[in-house]
Amino acid sequence: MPDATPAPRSAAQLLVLIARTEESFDPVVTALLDAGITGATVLESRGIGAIIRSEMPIFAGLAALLPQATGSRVVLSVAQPERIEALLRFLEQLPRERRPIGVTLPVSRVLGLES
Amino acid sequence: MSDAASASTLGGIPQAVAALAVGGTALLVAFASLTRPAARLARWPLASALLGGGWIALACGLLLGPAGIGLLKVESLGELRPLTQVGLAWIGLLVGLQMKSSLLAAVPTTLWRWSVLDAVVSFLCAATITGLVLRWAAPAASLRVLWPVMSLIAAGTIGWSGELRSLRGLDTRAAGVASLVQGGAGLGSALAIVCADLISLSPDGSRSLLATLAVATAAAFSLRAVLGSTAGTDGRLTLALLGTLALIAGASASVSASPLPGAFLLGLVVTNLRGAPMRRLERLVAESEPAVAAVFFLLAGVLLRAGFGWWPWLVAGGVLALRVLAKPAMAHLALGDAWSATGASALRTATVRQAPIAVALAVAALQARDGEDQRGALLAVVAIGVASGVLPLLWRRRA
Repeated sequence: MPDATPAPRSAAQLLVLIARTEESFDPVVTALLDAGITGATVLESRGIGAIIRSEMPIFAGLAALLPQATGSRVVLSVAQPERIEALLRFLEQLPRERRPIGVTLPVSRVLGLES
Repeated sequence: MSDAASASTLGGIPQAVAALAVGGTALLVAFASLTRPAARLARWPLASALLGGGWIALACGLLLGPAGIGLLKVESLGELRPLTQVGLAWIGLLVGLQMKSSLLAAVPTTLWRWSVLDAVVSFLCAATITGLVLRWAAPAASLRVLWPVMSLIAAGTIGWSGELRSLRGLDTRAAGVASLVQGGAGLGSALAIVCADLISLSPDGSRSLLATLAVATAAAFSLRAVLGSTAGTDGRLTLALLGTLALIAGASASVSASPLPGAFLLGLVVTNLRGAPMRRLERLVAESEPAVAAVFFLLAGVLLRAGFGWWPWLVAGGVLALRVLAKPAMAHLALGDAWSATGASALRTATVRQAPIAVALAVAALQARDGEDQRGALLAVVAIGVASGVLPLLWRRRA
């Protein structure tokens, strides 16, 4: 019979940040380190607008020959809520054009991370 | 004040208001092109083709202009000229910004071969077709008189549209060819601008061209100096860019030249200069493409008129036949097995569609020298664009 005891709920949260430009990514890295979040995964990303533009160039299409780096990046990190809170407080003070999009999600189980 | 003068002044006010209304509508269409509903339209192939080709904006302009409800009279079209000139300069900049040395180095030999073959064959054949039709329409006219229209139609025949969203359904084998088609569209636009402005030159024209190119080079380095010393926002960047483009457009207009080559050179220099502001400028210009195209095509629609006899329609028919017969054949010749491997993909008809830069070239010629020939050429270019855009969709439906 399988063990019916539920796994202990993790106190950690999943942080998702989307920095839309190179300029808005720099303060994100600084803030992550200042908040003590030293483990994070960074993914190069493209917004849907960039994808549609690449499929519908009007006057310029030569860029299709090279993989396009839009400067947009997604940061994923599992961290303690108080560190995420400190990070978000800092990011909220940034000018609007340099402020990333951020969401946090509760994490029910964690595998492969040291506590 | 005499009665005549009074009537002229009073008559001018409503037309100035009408010009402002058309300009305002153009800006509204530009903003609308960046909204979510416009993006949602891109899920329909027909809407993608119409938006990507600029035809919706052009139809709006046609409706507002002398050929439609007549909000703007023929005599007042000149009031929109500054807006059109800046729009043309922005388009030239967009095409020039592709000319980054690293990007050009990445262009495969196959694509260079395809683009050069297409440029040479398209130019020669389209110039011949146009020349024959014009000689039939005006037997007494000399080649020197006919050449501006011949070279304009010929340059507009170079290349093809890079929009591929309306031709969805590409299989995985066609992905490599798709990027070549888009890359070729970009190269074709650049070649079309160069051919239109170099091959059609007269001695006076070459002096004008050199003057605008000198202004553009100076403007590029000034722009870098201004942006390099300013930790500015996108607003400041836009303002500096608009000022630079207005300078190039004004310099071109003062010597009756097209602003396209000067702005093209500006883009070429800017994209090869180092610095974060230059990259931000590139991004800003690239993101503005749908809005600028919407404004420009709306203004092109306002300028469009019919009633020049049969010759524009005959030229359109001949060039359309050339596109249908020769463009896929040249693609097959240049790409060989890669092109055959696209199978029944709709991509095989992609190169039939006229490049949107053709409309920009026709409007630039009309702005530089207004006349019946230039108006007829604009009509022919628009007719080719619409017909060549519709054909692949019909072919796809039948398939």
